[in-house]
Amino acid sequence: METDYYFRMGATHSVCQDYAAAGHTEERAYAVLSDGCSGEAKSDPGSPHTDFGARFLVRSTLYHLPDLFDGDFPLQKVAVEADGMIRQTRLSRLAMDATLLAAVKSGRYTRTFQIGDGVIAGRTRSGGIRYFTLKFGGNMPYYLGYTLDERREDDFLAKAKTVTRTTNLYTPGEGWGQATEITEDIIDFKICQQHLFNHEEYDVVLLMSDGVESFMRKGTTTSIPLETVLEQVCAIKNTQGEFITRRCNAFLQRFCAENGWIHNDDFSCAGIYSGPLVP
Amino acid sequence: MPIFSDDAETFKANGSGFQFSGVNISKLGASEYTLVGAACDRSSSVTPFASEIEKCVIESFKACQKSARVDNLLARLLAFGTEVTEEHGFRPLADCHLANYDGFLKPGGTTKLYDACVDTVDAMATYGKDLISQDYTANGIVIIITDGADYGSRFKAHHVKEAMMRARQSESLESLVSLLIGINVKEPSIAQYLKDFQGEGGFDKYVEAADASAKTIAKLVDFISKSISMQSQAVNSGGPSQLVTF
Repeated sequence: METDYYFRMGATHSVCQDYAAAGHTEERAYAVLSDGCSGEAKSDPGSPHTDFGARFLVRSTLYHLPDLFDGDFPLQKVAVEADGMIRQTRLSRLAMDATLLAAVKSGRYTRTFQIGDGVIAGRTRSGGIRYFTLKFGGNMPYYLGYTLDERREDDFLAKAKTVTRTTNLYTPGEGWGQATEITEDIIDFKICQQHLFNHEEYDVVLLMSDGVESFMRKGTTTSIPLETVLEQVCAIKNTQGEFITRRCNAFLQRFCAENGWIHNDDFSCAGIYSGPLVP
Repeated sequence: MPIFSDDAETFKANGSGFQFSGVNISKLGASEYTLVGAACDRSSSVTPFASEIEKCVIESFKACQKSARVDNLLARLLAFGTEVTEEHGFRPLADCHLANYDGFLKPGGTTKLYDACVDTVDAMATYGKDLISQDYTANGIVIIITDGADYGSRFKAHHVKEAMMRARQSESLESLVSLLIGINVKEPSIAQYLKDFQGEGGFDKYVEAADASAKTIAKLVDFISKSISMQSQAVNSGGPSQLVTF
């Protein structure tokens, strides 16, 4: 079993507002990632200091890993813990405007949790890729901090209105299938989305901020399809140690440089390799 | 007998075709590595100060083992006399038990300097290319320690330069720093020979130690360990490190 994480600042950012952490023992593994809203510190009404907020949310989640291993994401406890850190540093609660993704592996499954946007991908042992994304109406993702502020949560519900869940599968030799999109009313939406990846079918599970959807060809406005980017990010050649750092470095520094791809938004990835199948 | 008999894999170097060994790449956990290729003269003329050369290698590696970058260093050690011998292939410096290095030189015979240089550079470039193909970032530093002129090599000085160019042009390594160290160089003709070989062989720097005294060895240890450390810090920067002053 291995875990690793990676985060890099986007081309249009002056500070990286993504953050990630990962770790494992022989039996259990975790990966946590947060993507701070791209607001400048001095802007109004942007969300200031979300680089701090992203880190606090990740740290706070790490304190509550036992709950995650039990299959429950303790929304209120994580939010309150992070809010305490925010208050300690005398920042605005707006700093908590950050998405939160987590994965824990215990036994035969890796379970993922998602609050807000971002991408979750599993690499099958046969080389396929299954991904899940969330898109909120008005590009306003849900932030955990809203659970502590009824007014902001109401405002979010009134403005976002809908959420769209997308999933697709890449099969070696066949390519990508037709993406499945389900749009639902935000009122019916469960704040924390979960997915289960069976260890027998999937060897790697990756969490990614929505920066993975911000790749473009340099000098153009042509977006690179998420599927094309995922093929690169998931092409992990060796799962030993810093397997995500190696893949992301090679992807960003070599492949993107050679092919003229840039990522405008911060890009982060954290994940778990669940190890070989033991008969 | 090689210093370590472990489960290293055998590789065949591009260019010269020398065989070399290295730890199985799939077992390497870091994302970036600096390859350290060191080759030491074991010709009969180094007999009076062979233990000083050994000490120079041991102390330099020891200093690197204390560095924060130790987990990102892979070292390969050669000795050259009448034959070029791989004392150990590329292996994590942290796993190099330096007590095993005592007495590895066993001087005697001629000086296959050029063969050792080509072997060191080609093996590094080949291993580096394999690392990069597996998504690792890699750069390298070559350290050749000799007290005299080549005798008996099948390669010539210009082949060393060609090997350096192959390593730099084939995208095998992000960058390469090459150091030629003349030790106990007392004769002006040898000093001139080694200075000329720096240019003909394409080395980045030639440093000359007039003797093998404890003070000189300490200075060399400092130079070598700092050079390795600087090159290691330069990995993933796109270019080589600045050369350290001797």
